[in-house]
Amino acid sequence: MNDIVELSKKILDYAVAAGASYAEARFHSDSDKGVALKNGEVEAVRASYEFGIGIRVLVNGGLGFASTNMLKPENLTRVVDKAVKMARASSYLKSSRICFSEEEAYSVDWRVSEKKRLEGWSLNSKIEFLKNLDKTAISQGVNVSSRYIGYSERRTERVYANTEGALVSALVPRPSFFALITVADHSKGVIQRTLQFGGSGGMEVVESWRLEEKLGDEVKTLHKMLTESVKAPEGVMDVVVGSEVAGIISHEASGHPGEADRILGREGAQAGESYLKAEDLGRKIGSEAVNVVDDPTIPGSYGFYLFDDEGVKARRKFLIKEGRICEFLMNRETAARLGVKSNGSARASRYSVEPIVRMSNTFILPGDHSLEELLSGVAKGVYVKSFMEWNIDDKRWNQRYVGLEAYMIEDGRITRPVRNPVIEITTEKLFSSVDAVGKDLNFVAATCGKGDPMQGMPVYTGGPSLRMRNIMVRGVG
Amino acid sequence: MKMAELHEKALKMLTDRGVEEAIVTLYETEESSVRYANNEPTVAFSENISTLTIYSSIKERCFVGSFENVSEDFLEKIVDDVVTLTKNTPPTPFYAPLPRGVFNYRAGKRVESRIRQLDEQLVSHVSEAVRASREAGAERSAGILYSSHMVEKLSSSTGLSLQEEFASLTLNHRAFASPEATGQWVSCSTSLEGFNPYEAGRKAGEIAVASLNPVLIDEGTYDVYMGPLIFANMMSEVARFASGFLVQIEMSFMTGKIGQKIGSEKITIRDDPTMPGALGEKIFDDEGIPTQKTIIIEKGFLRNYLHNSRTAKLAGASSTGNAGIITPHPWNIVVEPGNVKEENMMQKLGKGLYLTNSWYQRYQNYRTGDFSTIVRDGAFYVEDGKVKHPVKGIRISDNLQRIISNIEELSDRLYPIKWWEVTTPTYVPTAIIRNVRITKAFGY
Repeated sequence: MNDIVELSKKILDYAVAAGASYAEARFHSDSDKGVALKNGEVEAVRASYEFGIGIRVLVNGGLGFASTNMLKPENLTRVVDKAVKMARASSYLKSSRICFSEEEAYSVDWRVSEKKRLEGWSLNSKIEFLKNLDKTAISQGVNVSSRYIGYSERRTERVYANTEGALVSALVPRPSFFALITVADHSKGVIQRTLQFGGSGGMEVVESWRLEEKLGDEVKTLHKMLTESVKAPEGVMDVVVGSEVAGIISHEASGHPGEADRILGREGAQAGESYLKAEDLGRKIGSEAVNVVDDPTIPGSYGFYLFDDEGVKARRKFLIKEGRICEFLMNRETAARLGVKSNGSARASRYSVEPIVRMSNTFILPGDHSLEELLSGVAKGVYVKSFMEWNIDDKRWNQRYVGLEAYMIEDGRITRPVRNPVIEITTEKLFSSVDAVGKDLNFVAATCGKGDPMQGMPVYTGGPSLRMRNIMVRGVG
Repeated sequence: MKMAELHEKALKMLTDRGVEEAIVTLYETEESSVRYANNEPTVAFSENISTLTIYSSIKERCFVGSFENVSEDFLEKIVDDVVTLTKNTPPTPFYAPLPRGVFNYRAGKRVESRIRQLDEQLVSHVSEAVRASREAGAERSAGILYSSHMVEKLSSSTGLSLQEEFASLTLNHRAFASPEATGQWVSCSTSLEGFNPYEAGRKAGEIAVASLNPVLIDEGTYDVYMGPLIFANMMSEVARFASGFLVQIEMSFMTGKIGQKIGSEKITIRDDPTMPGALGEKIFDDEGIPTQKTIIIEKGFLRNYLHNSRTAKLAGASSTGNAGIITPHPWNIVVEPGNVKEENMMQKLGKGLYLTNSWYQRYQNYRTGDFSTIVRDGAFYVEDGKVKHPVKGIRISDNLQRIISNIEELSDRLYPIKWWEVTTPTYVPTAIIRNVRITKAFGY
């Protein structure tokens, strides 16, 4: 640790001497171990270790980023030289200089503790754990024609330092689980479900997922949806969605469009821009029942952090408050452009990529309705509890969610299962149609993709059940 | 110790410690890139990374790993961990012995070494693309230009010692004539001569300007003329689903369909890493087997899956030289061109939609191929073979097998495509596809 801090200081000094007005160095290590079972048998054990440095510099208002995992001093100076050279070259074409918001320079070490250490969980025990889960999946009395399930644990360690005096070190262990389940029926065909669980912490996090129970339930539900569901109703009607659907809505229709780099055009060629403009704070986008936050400080969460990858202290952000756009997600560059301070939303997925504006745990805040109360107000509609297919346009306006577990609602009660109801709707229409919010807050782990080079980032999506009035539902097939 | 020696040392240490089979590969990557938005560079990157990948097996116990903490200091720990994990893993029924034999590798691959030293010149290439879009009438541009150079060195316990070099330039350029009028184009090449940022900027700019003032259309079934970007998105997905691994875990609409007609007689797709100068040209796969040309779909019939030794063994087939140790995958996807001149394709379409790009393809069911994808950038309503007006807010909501079954015409020219959405190099013509299901959002 001390060696790394000393090395960081030397690198920063060298960068300044080479012409950088600002520099930061991030030593970033990820170790990942995992095992996957294909139809109950071990496919292979795998591991990946990464350890390298990302160096970012500002030179004449141009931004350069260089990375390497060859950490000999002579190579590091070459890498700094390259970052400076590339930043300087790009500065010649700039009409305005990039600068960063002024922030407090913290010197802090933060780490996620493991109540039950993951290292104490042997490889054989993990394989046994997965085999038992697989047995659970195939012992539900239905034809599970294919299973691919896996467990992995990633340990991320970082030491971040910049020329303003910040020094932040961190350690986060993240266990995760995934499954792809295919259930078949000789006359009805096949149905599929992907599942992902993740969190930060130790074995206690894995235990909290109650995977055996959930996997068994999922398999039974898939069989029911495959064999008993009828064509979804079509037309304008009321819809109640479960936490899983509310979570993806919060992520796609509020989180992404609220990323300030998209709003300012920096992601224009890849993930796209946003329906929001810089002057849209306060804009009404939904009913007063809609409140969306992004909060990296939730203990045990998959998107947990206390300081971001620019050394800025993390905090909860209200993205939508009572139906109005409240705050954007910002790093230091976008905050400076907007004339405010960063709200600690800069994350880098590995040493070799720059920190960019990212979500952490994005969710719709719960209200006070029970599910029964939400349903009781619906004469005819659908209840969409889970989904498989979804997408949204690159301004985050036009989105589609296709239900997996879904039911008719008739006279306030859940009745028949329905097949793949489709909600295809604009963001404003969606949020404006929400008239009641459940009190059942739940989270789903996900890996959010953004950036070029692509960065996969661990996040939670989440929310309570939501009731939407008078929206279009369609069926598939 | 030089990196080149490190992977050989790792191999020796592994076999000395009881590993029966091993493949150790060293990837030395140098990459520079410039990202830009609003007509200006936003950040310039440089990457210099060495990665060691290791496959090992002992008595049918298998391990795969990737290590980016590469140095002599770490090597001892890496080897220790690999040996321990391999020994502690139960035997897997998916094990297949490493291929042995005398292999013949293609010679004569040419690599443009000048790509390696471009660095600051990338900024001037970006400037060229931005200028071209402006000249075409677009207000602003965004994109990224990569110059990549990599050397791959593979050594195995079966006596292989192989080396291959790669270099390429890839530009992904998007022009904006207004916030909702955009156009996208790419320029991808393994040679400086074949790289044309100005042309990419011009085409993206022209599409963006033609997309001004788009209107909503009714949803329904349309005949569609697909430009190279969107057709590459579709076809790279089709080829990806030929992976023996995805087929075997039922994550593919091709599962169980070898020999069956799954597409129009117009469609022939192959994986062709033997194509000289191609973006995905490759001499050997991750098991050290020579790569080959493999027909996936021939005139609509599914002929082959893509295999490594493991998936081949399970399928009772032979490797097609597409390892990935665990997951076989295509290297260089080629769709056989048709015989219609590209300039005549709109006339052949007659009435329908001309779509230039798509993005965010997601599946309801991989086994059936039910999916939807967002249409983005230029999209146009066409009548009598002529563009009538741009359209907005639409999505293709269909089935991948239905899409390839409804291909009616292919143009006679191939475009090389590689970008954020198409990560495997894909060579495609343009295509006319009948009866594509188009949907739009409620609330517009």
